[in-house]
Amino acid sequence: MKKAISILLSVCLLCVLLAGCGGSSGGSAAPAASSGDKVVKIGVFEPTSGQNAAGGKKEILGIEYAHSLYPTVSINGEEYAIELVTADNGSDTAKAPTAAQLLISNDVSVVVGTYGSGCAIAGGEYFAKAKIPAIGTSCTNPQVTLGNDFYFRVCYIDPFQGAVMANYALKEGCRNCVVIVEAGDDYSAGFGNYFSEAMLKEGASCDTVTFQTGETDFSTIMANIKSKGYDGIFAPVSIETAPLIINQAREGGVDCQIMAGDTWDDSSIASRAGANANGVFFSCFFDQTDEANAAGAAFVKGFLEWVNADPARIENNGGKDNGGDVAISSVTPCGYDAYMAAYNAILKAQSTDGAAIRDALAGLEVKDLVTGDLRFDENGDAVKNYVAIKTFQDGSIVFSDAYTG
Amino acid sequence: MSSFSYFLDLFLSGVTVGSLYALIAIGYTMVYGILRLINFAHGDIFMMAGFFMVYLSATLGVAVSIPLVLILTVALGLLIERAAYKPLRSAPRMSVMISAIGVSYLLENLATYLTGGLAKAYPEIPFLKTSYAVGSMTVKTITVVTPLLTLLLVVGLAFFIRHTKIGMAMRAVARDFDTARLMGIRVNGVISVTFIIGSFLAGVGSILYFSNYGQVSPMIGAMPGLKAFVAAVFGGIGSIPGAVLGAFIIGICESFIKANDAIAIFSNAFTFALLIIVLLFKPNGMFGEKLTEKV
Amino acid sequence: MKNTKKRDLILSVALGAAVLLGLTYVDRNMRYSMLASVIQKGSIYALLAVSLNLLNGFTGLFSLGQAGFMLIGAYTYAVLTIPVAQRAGVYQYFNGGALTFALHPVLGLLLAGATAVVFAWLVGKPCLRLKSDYLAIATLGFAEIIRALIQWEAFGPVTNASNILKRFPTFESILTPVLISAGCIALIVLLINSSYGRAFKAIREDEVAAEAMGINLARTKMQAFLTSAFFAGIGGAMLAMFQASVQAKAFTSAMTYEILLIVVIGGIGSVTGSVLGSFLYIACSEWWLRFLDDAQTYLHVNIPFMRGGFRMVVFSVVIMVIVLFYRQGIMGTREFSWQGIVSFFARLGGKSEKKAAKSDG
Repeated sequence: MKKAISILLSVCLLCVLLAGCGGSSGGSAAPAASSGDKVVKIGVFEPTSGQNAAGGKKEILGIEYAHSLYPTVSINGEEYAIELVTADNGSDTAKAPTAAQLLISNDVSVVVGTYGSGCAIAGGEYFAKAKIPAIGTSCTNPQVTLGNDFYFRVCYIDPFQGAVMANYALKEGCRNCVVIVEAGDDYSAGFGNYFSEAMLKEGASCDTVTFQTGETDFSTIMANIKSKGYDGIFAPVSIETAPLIINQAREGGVDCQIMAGDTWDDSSIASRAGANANGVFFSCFFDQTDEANAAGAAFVKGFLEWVNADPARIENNGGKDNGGDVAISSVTPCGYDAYMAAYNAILKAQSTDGAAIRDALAGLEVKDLVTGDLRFDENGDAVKNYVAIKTFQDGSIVFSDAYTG
Repeated sequence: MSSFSYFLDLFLSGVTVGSLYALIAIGYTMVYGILRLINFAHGDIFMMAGFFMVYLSATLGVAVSIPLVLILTVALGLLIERAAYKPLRSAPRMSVMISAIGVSYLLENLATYLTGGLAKAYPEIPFLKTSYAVGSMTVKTITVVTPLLTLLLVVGLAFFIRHTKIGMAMRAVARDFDTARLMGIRVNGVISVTFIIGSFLAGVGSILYFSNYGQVSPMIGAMPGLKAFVAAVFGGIGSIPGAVLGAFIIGICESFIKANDAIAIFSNAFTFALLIIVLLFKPNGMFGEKLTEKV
Repeated sequence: MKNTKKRDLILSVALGAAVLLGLTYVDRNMRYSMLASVIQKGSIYALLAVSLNLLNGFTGLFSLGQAGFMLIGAYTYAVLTIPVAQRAGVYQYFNGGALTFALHPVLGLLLAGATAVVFAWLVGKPCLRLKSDYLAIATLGFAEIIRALIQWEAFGPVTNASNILKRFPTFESILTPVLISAGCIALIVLLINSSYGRAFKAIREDEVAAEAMGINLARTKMQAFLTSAFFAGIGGAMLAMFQASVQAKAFTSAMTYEILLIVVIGGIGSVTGSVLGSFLYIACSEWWLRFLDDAQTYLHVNIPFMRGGFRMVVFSVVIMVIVLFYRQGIMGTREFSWQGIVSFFARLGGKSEKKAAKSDG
């Protein structure tokens, strides 16, 4: 019996290793150009598994769509094919370094990503050491770029977002808020902190409640909130926890205003929370119904066509919402813009060397990207003054307001 | 907002969570009583039951799925017992525990692979989703149903163990494995029945738990499983009423701790701290039997 | 009887030199390759596996608290060695944090181990006399308690609560973790081969008999526990140095299970097995088997089940097979010895000779 199993295992292992040798040495690559062509590699540093997988997959779609529009770049008169190398950071700050090393060992010239500030901070240390520039997509925690010369980002940062949300809360009449924060998550803790600070600066009061990762029971927290009579809940938490908080708040008799940040821009929250989510509003990077944004409208049209062409892409985008349409999450344009920033930087640097591309990024200016014009400040953060506020309505996400300051 | 209804809110919340832990804890304590094995995979069986429901009800509808889910859960429990624990029955205790950890690991990774790691929405069971107003509070049906159902099942189980032949066989095997075998008791059968009952209760628990929270995710079984085991140890291994009582105590304490902002983060840690303290003073749990070790 | 000692010594020195040369080459030319990464992480996990093996395999104490000690070691190191200039940036929400000094990395490593020992003493005092199953759950619970404590807002000025710690000194060359690990493992092997180690093994075999022979159970168990915790703390600190960032959320019981599984794969009770198992595990999970997670086209046919997460499923199945059918692991309780390798090849040669003789005759 043992012998049979040993032989079977060895045969399986052999087959599997042979198959592996056929594939690439690690990260998966989009169909590469035939050998002999020049290739420049862009690393895609995103979570495709774990807590943040939903957001990561949507950003990858944005990156892949941009790649389909701009698959080659011209350096010193020669056409270089752009190859995407993906590494999954598993939404885990312990796995992020290995994913980063995977990209570095694959000789990428520039990295795009990630969704989830914790992983960006963890991986960023490696990119800086290997002197490879990275362009953050939707990681909003300031720690990602602070002190790291090689990390840039195309989105706004949490101090800005926190102040905007606090302003909104005060506008809605919430003067006594509570912030629900996930322990161990840089994004959640940081964002909650900035919202809190902004509220306190305006003279309102703001308390914080922390829960452990993986917690599903918020009924006690809600009972606590009800008894203390808060008039606003701010919950910068993950997509998975969001419906739990919304549902248990309403079921527990808590009917104050609920607010959140960019992580809540996901149709699965709308469908799982249903009517309970009506009136909840959150901040995000992009609004697909905004007529004034010409680049945005073009992006929406092209992206929808591209996604609908392949059922696998629809699946990765979160399926279809209640109206039978494909929703565009606001992190997808972030992926698109980050790729475009990388593309333009390579073009400007006219080189595949990481350090040269980094210098090109520092002074880069690109007009009319999906989320607006792009320019980096001295920390590597994008200079953005646009925040879209969206809300849930009967199972779908609807644009509510915009903040431009 | 009266403090009494706040207190009642917390208490009810704790009772609901506690009864869910109780259903899982019974499975742990029964298996440990007979096999001296901490079935680390029990929490994950609970999670798989949730996923069975999600996938079955998508094609078959809720009413048909409930009995099917219970049958599948029992089958899974039996399969694990036959494949992973039975071959190691004569091996040292550490090997079996490692096997249990291995099964738990396998189930979690399998669930992550099949679902892509994201939570899946749990189908709504119409009867359980209603809620009605009592005074100034809204009480969900499920908050009332869960503890009642748990108590019913526990009473039924106690009756089963006290007054049936199989129950007596289970008690005998728990008391002394080898002597029971010498007396002609079919030990394999007894162990199978133990796993059937444990898995059945985990299945029922999963239906109630996931109906309450609305979603299932691959790692969700780990912490409730551990807490249920703590409840079982707390109450005294081998004692079913002890496990149930321990579960309720843990659920209620957890509820009150989570209500306090400053120490809410310690809700999980508290359970373990409680375990360590109890084991210091009563190494066999509150209602455990004193076991003498013979040289 | 040939004098094998001289031969063994020459072979060992030759092997050591070859390994050092190889590592220096990798360090110069492939600093950021997957090979370098696997070497570093493999040696760190080797130390962790050996420290767990010391407790589980050699003393028979089933402890699942390794992640807790690793966490303490990692945080102690990180908190004490972040350069003063960087502190304001890292402790952004706590006004630069409570500490205003930074220690040398070596001192940081030693203190990491020492802090872990202190906590191990606190945990061991009440828990070590529990039965093996209860000890497992108690140590698991302790790891959970430590994690909650570190993430507590009140300790934020020291631990940075929920936020990542970074900017502390990391490995300059890949030789560093390998040498530190090798040194620590050598110490552990010396311990195991001493009278203390024999006392540990006696407890593993039969506690009552050991006590009858005069071994102080409580004290010896505590010695094993503290030693294991010390090296787990150092291992945790090294892990922090490797990752360049550390966060309490990552040190869950899943991490302890990983190390336990490495010990099982290598063979409970074999130091060589733990080292081999660790490198094998890390190489497979981080590098060789990554392709299992990507869609593969084999002869233009898409293999449907290879996607994210498949790698871990394959892993778990392999581990179950090992646990059920190959309970001895790779090495069982045997250790590395030149004599063993020589006789292995001799046996192979002997077999083929015997076969030739048979077919002739």
